[in-house]
Amino acid sequence: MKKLLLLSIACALVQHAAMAGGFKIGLQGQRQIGMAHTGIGLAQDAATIYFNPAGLSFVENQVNGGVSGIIPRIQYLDVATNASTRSENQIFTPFSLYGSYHLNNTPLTFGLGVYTPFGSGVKYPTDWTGRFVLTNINLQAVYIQPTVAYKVTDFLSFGAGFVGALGHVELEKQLPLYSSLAGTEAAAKLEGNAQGWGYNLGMYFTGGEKFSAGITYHSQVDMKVDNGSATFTNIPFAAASSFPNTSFKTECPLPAELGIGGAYKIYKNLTLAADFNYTLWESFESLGFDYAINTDKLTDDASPRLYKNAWAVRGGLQWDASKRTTIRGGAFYDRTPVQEGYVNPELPDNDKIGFSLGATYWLSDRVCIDASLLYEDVAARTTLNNETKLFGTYKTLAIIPGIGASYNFNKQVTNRINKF
Amino acid sequence: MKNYKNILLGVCVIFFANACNPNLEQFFPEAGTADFTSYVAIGNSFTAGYADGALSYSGQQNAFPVILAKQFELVGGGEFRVPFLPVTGNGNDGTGATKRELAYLQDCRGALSVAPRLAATPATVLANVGSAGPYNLLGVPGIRAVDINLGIYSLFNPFLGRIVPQPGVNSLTSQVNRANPTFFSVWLGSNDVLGYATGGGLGKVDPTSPVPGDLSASAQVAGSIKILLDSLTKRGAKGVIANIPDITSVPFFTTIPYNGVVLTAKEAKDLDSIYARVGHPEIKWKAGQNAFVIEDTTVAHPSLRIRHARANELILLSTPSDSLKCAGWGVSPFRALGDRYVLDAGELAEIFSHTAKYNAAIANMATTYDLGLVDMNSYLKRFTSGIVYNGASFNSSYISGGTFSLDGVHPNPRGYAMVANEFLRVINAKFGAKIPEVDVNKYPGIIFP
Repeated sequence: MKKLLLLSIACALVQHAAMAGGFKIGLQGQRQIGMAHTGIGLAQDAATIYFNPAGLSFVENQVNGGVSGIIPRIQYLDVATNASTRSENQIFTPFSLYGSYHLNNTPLTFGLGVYTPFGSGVKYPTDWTGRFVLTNINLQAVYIQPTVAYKVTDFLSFGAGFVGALGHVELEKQLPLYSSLAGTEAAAKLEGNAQGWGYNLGMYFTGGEKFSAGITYHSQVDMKVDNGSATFTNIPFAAASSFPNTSFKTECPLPAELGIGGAYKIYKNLTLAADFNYTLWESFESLGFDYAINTDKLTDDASPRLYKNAWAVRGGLQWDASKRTTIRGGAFYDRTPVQEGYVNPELPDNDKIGFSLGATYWLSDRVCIDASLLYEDVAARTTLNNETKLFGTYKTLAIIPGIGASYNFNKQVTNRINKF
Repeated sequence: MKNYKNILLGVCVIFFANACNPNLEQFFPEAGTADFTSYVAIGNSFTAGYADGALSYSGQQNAFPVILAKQFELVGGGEFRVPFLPVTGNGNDGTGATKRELAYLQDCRGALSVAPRLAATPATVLANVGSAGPYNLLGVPGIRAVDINLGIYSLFNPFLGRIVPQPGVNSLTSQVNRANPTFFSVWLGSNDVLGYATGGGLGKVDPTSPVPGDLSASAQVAGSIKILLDSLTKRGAKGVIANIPDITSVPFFTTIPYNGVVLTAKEAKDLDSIYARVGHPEIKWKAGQNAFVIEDTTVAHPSLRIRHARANELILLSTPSDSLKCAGWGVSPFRALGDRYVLDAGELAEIFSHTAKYNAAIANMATTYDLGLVDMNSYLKRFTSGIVYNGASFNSSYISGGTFSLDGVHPNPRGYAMVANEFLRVINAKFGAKIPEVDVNKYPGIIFP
């Protein structure tokens, strides 16, 4: 009689509290976003610290920053009940900030980048059918990357950066326990700060005025939560001892990525760039939580994710329309790492296409404003989750506007004049 | 020019609003070849929405036919009239007792735990509402298949008595065509087994005139249902018929283990010497789990005809738990569990064979009358092995399993919603309909204090 609860409540809690999905964010530089996030083989500003650290050798002394606004909109349509659920509107603001500096009379360039390459967030109504799986996830990671590039010759450079990562994770779900005293369902919340480190390597090559190319490797960053807090609310008194507020540990690998890219000046004002990314998602095999206090319902467990490596192709165009104005456009196709049977409301992922627009306007010889607009369309996916048995169709769309600014220590616009 | 701008602006706004809002299209519900204009549900307590040991207004609201009727509205279903009980009162089990609820109770050992108890009185009044009929929900708690064609039966069953215009005259079958059904569900036969099973198998097997507590002959069960189906189908109504679950699918029969006596080595040794002294040296005890001692009239002994329960026997949930814990029930040679609390192997064999025979007859009738067959026998077995529904886990464990109500026999609202979904799956398949299932997680589960 005292065993009033399901063991599986704990399992469900553990298994689906995940910061998962193809949760990479492709918003690391406003000019690059405008060209579908290409930039491995086209170093045009200090954002190359992320895209290809070797590119630093070929950019101006500059500070550059930007921010994007995402309002992801997710719809879930349950196959059996025909019920439609929409995620609640939230805005996320991934940002980037870069600075580059050439050390005079040396082949060295130094740089520092602060950017947000991973993250995910979605909030569902607390009465939706999948509330025992997830009602809220918010995952954020900020990378801080001091970088150095070495120019071997006029056409070849190498670059390396150290990545220190800070993260925050927040997960919420309802528990199928109802107390007449509380008058509501019980809920669980896991929250914690994470740290990790890694590195970022690159090689950059220019073949004269017309052609450039690059190769990069972003290492895996293991984000560790050492002292997260698990909080349970509205637990019926009878079950209180099974759900003590406690601390937890967890670890999530932010995957390594291999990239190759190139750019070609088709015409004197028109540049084409293309990138290929291969992300080693396979490191994300499972997600486990280790609770400081274990009870009959709160046991340490791991839930399979079994991500597969995935690639993306990107292509962008840049047109220097006038002395002060540059206009950009691009498109990408990004394959999902999430396999059939493992799609979760935390990130209902699928293959994604994106279209982008962007522009730069030089306000003065040194200062410019960058703007971008990205439209992302995640293909509808009808899927049955192996563990939760949620069976429905997910669809995600997002329109992502972004704005940024650069300050060049040298007179940039004057340099452009010879084109016109 | 100004207009032009406004139109352009409007187009832009519409484009952005649509472009960033996913627009998955819901499917269009269809009735298929069935006509849901007037749905009538005929059955026993499972059809009535009986739960927590009583019928109550809130239980009726979550009866599976009420859930179905709501879904049928999407495909042309009309009004579904339910003989609702008054909202006041805490339900009625038919004898004036209230429903059960969970509360903090001190057991005989002084330990505080959450356990079911009777909810506060008063019970809900079972006043006759027959004149306000006809009703679409004809679920009569306690009714057996063999009772449905007997007019006099409505005098003895207050749940039937309250919904017919003339108690003592009207049978259940006499009421089924009053609402001119175009579609029906029939789920009968459970009580022809359950009465015998919950009574510990004290009743007769296959008597000519079965009284409640007997095990009805399958020919009589099939014959009664056939009369009902003849009446229902003669004007072209279509429908579904459900078969009956095995009793081992419900926690009433599976919660108390046969070997629930836990002893220390010393206690076991003491008991051995007691049993030797009373002339039962063959009843041995050991440290750890031991089988309960039960009455068995076939045991040769001048006064204490008792033996250990066997692994293939079931102890019923009606066994008073305080008596098991503190009064030596099932342990002391003088407190062997009475026959009414135990189903022995022979009784179980009768129950299983009758269940199988009823279900064979029901399957036959489904074919004969071209009805959808809802295999509740198989479906409730899935409760036993466990069902995961949209992240919530369910099984048939008493209280903790989340599917059965506190009486251990009837589902709780989530369980009834799953039952309704199984009916919908059969209806959709049989009649080529596309009726959405219901979200089980929207219904209340067990409510803890």
